[in-house]
Amino acid sequence: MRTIKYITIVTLIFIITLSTSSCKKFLNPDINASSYNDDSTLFSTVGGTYGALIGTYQNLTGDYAYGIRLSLYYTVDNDEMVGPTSTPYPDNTRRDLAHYALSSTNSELEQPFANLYQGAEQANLCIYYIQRSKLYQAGNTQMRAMLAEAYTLRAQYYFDLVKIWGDVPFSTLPHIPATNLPVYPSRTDRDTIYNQLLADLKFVEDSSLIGWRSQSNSQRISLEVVKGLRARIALYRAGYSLRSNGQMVQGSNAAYYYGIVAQECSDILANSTAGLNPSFKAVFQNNANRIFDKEMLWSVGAGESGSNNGNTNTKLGYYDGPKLNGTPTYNATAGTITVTQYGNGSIVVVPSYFYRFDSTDLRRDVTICIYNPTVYGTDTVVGTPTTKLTDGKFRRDWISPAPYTTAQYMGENWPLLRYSDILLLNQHCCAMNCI
Amino acid sequence: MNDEFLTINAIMKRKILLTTFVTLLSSTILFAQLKQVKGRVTDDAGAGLDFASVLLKEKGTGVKCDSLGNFTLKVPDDGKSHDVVFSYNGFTEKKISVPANASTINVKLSKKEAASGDDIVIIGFQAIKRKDAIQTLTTIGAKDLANTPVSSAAEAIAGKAAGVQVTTSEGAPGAATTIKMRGPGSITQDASPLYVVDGIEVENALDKISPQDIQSMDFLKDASATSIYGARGANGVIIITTKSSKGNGKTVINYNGFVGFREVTKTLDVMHPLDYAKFQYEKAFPNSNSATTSSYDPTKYNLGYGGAVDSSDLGTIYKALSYDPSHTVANWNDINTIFHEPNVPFNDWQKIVFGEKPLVQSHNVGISGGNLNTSYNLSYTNNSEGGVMINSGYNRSIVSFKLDHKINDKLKVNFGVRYNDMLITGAGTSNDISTSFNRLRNSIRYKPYGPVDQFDPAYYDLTNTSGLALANPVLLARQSYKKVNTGNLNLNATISYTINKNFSFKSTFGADNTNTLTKIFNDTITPESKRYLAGMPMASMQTANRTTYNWSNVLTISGFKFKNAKHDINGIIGQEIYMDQYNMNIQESDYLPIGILPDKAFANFEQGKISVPIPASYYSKSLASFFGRANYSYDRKYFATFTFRADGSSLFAPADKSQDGSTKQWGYFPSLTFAWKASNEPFMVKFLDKAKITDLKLRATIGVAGNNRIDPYLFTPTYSSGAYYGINNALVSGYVPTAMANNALQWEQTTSRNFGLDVSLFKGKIQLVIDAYKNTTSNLLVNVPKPVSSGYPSQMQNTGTLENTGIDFQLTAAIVQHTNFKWTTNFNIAFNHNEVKNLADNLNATGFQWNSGWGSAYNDYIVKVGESLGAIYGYQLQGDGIYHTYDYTDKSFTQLKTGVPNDAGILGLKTVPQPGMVKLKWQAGDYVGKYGNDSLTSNSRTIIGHAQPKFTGGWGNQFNYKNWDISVFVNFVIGNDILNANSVEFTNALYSQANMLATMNNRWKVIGNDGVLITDSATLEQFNAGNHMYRPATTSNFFVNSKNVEDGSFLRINNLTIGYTFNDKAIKKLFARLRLYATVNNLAVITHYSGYDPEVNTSRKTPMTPGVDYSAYPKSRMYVFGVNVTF
Repeated sequence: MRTIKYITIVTLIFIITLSTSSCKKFLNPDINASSYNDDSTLFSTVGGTYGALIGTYQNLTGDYAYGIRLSLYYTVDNDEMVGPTSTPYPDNTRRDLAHYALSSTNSELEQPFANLYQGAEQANLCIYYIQRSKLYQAGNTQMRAMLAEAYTLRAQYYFDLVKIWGDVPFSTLPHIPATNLPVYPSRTDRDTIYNQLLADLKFVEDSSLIGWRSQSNSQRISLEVVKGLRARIALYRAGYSLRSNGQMVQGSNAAYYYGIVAQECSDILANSTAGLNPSFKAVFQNNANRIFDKEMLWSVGAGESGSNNGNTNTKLGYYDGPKLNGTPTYNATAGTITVTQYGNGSIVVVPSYFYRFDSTDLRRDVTICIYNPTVYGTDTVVGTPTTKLTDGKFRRDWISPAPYTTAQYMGENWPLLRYSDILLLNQHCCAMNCI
Repeated sequence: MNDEFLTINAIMKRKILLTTFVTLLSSTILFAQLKQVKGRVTDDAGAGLDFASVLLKEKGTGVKCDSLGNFTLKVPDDGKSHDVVFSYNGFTEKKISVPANASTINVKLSKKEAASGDDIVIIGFQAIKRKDAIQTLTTIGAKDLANTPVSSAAEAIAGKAAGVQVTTSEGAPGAATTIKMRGPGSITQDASPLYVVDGIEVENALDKISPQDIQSMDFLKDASATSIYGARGANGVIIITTKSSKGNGKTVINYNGFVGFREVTKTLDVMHPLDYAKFQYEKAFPNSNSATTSSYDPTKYNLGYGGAVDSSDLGTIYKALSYDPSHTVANWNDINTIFHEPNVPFNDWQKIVFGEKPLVQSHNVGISGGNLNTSYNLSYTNNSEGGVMINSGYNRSIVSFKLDHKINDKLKVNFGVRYNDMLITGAGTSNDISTSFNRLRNSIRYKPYGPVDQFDPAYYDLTNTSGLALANPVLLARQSYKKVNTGNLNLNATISYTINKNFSFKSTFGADNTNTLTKIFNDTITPESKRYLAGMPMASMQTANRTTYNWSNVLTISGFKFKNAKHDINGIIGQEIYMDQYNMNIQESDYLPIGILPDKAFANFEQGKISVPIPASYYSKSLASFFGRANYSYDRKYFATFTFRADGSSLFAPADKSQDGSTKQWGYFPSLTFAWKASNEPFMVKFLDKAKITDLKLRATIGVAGNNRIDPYLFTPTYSSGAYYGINNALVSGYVPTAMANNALQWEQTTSRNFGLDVSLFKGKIQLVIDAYKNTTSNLLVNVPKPVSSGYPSQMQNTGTLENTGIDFQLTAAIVQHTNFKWTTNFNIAFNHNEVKNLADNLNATGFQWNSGWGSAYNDYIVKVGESLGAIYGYQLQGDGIYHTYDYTDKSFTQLKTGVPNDAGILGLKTVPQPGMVKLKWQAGDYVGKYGNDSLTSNSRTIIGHAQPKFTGGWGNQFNYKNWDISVFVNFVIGNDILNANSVEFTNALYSQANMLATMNNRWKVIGNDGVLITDSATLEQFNAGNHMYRPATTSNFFVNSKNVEDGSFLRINNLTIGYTFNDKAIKKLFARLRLYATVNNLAVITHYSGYDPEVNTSRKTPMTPGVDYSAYPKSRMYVFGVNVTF
């Protein structure tokens, strides 16, 4: 009968339905089949771990980190250079930040702070999961090196946090359900943070997780960076800082930490293939053109990414450095000449700094730019008055081919650690009589 | 299913009997003595009803009339009278007792009254008669929709159903609409209702269906109806039934079309050239004591704008104003003499950019037909309209096909397919990503004169100093190319099988696939190109695909006979699965060659530099459910319904990943409803008759529904794409943590309580539905802000309680029902009170603030216990909001008197605020800051507005006089505030050389008519006696004060239509129906709101920030002329 046929069809539908829906799998779709990655799966491969590490590195670059804020807004005013003097001031943003007129509502404060913590959290995630991955436990060298990089990145992020904000909340574990960390942590004393960072980096060195630099780029971390950063942190640990009680106090047991600085620096000087570039100018010209320079131990990688530039690129050479003078246009009726200037030229050198240099010191005219370049393609420059001297290490007229006049992101890397820094750190220790 | 089908079934059954068995068993038939009864079935007017059914009740045998309504029925010739039932679709069935001796009988059937109690409503997997419905529901029928010639269904329902608030975000073609039923039910999550189209869950259904294809829309508002949709029913359910063929053997062809145009209703007043030039002069006026000069003396006054260093700045202004050589400016007098109109003609850029009067067209053709076994409905709709803005438009075509086929008495299949192709052109004005990219500001702030379509590089650079970079708005609109092409394919199929008289089974399968291709091309002067790409063009293509599958199986149990016939019990049990897959990819090509055309750019994508891939996204969400409903009634007086649904969702943790080892996936949603139909109570009859009450029903419901609209996999830590780092000059892609995982996440639950009253008066001429409700949403899924030291800005948590309390009224009245004159009215009003009852423990005292994202430097909304969602957070004005000369202790204005608040910190000033500047109120609780007593910090913000309306509603009137019909529809929203963010940005003078709103003409001025700074207190006050607006702020930190919050109440004459239906015999021969009409949509808005339109919502990322008006596309009025034809 036909009815039986239909009943069979209906029953079949029921069976198919039930077998689909009752399946537990239906409600637990495989995360890794989507664009989301389950943490432990991601860290079970070298490629996945590398991806997570790249994400950790990213917090160094872009608008909220060394792309502009940490490198340019946060470093001035000092006795060498001052921040933007143009109107409107006060502005409750970058000008106030530079000119020591901060209020709690300043809009440049929260994002860089949050961004550094984002970096620290991602470093913590990398450390947590790499240590638990089978590959690492089996001694995979790439995984070991990436663990070293994660430790170093965490040290850099917390070092920056302490350097700028003093005592801050500190965690060595990521915020995942498994760790169940307190929601509102209290502040940790900076010495405790420094000690932990120094110990972490010591662990990296002692376990030989990473080797001396072999790659021909300075954007990834090598043993030089581990040691150089450890030396730098040790020097901060040994030095004076403004404590929560309002007092300038030197870190305890300073001599011991000077010892670390000396030890790490001499290690690098003895073993690293890095060295000084005989031309001071060439270091920065190379940087402008993204040419690897053996003096550069670690620089924050700026990557051009179109409309995503704010997260990956830097405004070095746009916000600071000389302005670009456009073609003068003559207005016959008004009888005036208009020169359009591109770039902000926001970091201005204090004239006395210029005069502090010996007139034969070749570094002066690299560090300080005394001119504004004119339209690309011509060799002419226009001199600037001493009140409008700009910092000169990131100048747009060094970039080849010349960037477009109104470009804001020039793709210049921000140097975090140079071979010369190691020499200076070492010299500082000598001066402190610690060797 | 419903009555029609039952009738058809019955007839079919008899027909088969007649055609097969009857002939086979003709010998048996011979024994019965039969006689013939002839007659005609007509309507009230005497027109024959074609193919009407005639059924002999006792035997169940029947015939169909011919095309003129004539029939011949055989009845037993036994000397008794016999009951014969006459029926015709859309008409009230009639039972007539045919006397033994009768041989002819003519029957008149009357048309069913629209929205009477006899029609069918769908309450979730079950179709029931409206008069038996004990749920709270509002229905909008095809008629209501047909009277409003609009392109989108969402527009058509605005204000028509009580408690359903439809807000169009802006005036752009194809703009998003927000639909809220009974207030917002969720804090940070999507609160839009669930759409069920012909039994299938469809996302954003109102965008996908042509309003002309809709037969009815049922709005399910309380738990009694929504609980059966469990998981996703908490925000209300809208059930859409599309048109089907009547299956009466007749082919019907319909055409509905209209043509007309649109025009912008309102533009914002901006400063004219002279005022503009004067202000530029005032702003740049040399200030002997500017904060930026080395000789700055903080004890001396600083009356000017503080921007100028020396007279050379004034020279810059002269140069800027003199850009066109025909008006050289060298001093104040020149400004006064040259900038007079018409010497320098005023260009109202808005009128040029939004000045198009685009053609609007809509065509809808429908063919339906078929017979009792197989019927179909095919329709094609095309809407096309240009935008009022240059370079924008909208074109949509929808083809829909529905097929109903009856395989045999028991088995029936339905199949439907719908394809929707929509193209929206134009970059519009608003931008979700960054305020830098908003395109309204160019039309407002660009200097109000100059060539209409020339790029002015000098002006661009001048205004670029603070990042504003104004480009010619006309040119910008031409250079901003955006096309969003959406293709949507919806397939649905149903198999129904009647097992026996008690059980029937129905399986419904639906698949909905939406492909969206967004093409954006930004040419050289767009901010995207100028800012990031060195002034070279960029193109991007985004493809998104979303596919949802929905499969439900329902067993309906009914028709049980009890010894006591007063009992009736029926119900359903069922199961459903739902899957949602999403896939998105973006590609971007940067630094394209200058001069390339948009279409060329997309065809030659590799001509530019292919940008780093922007993260793609792919995920799948699934839901498995089991549900049931039991209906019980006693004597048609007492009704009870119990529903229960269990939902399992893939969005929550399974046992092995959850916090406590138990699964969080399942949610349980019960509901219980009682109703008492008082009008069926014998003891009430007398009283009711006296009160002219035909129908009286009381309803009470309590139930729970859920909400799970969150991103996938938030219960476990995951990484997703979106990280890049440059190594060796090349960008390397990596992963970032997606969110701060929470393995305790579970369903958000809304408990709703409803008490309702349905009254029908004067034989149904007046129908009133009143509902009072209290909906409590607990375990709210809230994106709770976290301390940033965790590395995450927020975490999704179940926390807090939100409550909506309110009352809805819906009144329908047929006031006059004369043959020649009819007047029906439909009025609805809904009061809703929304309140946050509880948040996370640590947030209960302070609440949490949120930034709506238009560029405010401070969070401009707050979610706080005791407040409604959408509390606007900003500064109040002190007194008249202006510092006066008497507020100072000295004549140089360097010291404020004690008790006068000092808002220098907010205005970004180094000195105390100067006369004429905005005076903000100091709030108790703000600490006494570094600026001294009464100095304000951002803590002096307070709640200055509420975006939730007090009540909303609509009122429709339809008049028919002979062949004429007139309908007027108004809707209103009362008691809501709007954050007019436009008025913040467009009255700020941070940027030099940028124009401002005309309200700033009424500002406090410090430059006298002679062009010199006024320094004397008395003269200043006298000069500004009539100026009630503060001086524009020059801070880059935009802040909201109470002047920027405006009452958004409005009453809109939404629609006015005049129509004429032809009834001439000559025309009747050609057409079954012919109606011509003319309509004005959005005829007028009565409001105090100063912006474009009070119905606005541009910050839609979360429900926390409703009522923001920032850079919205202006609304327009539409005039159309249309025709409805039926062949």
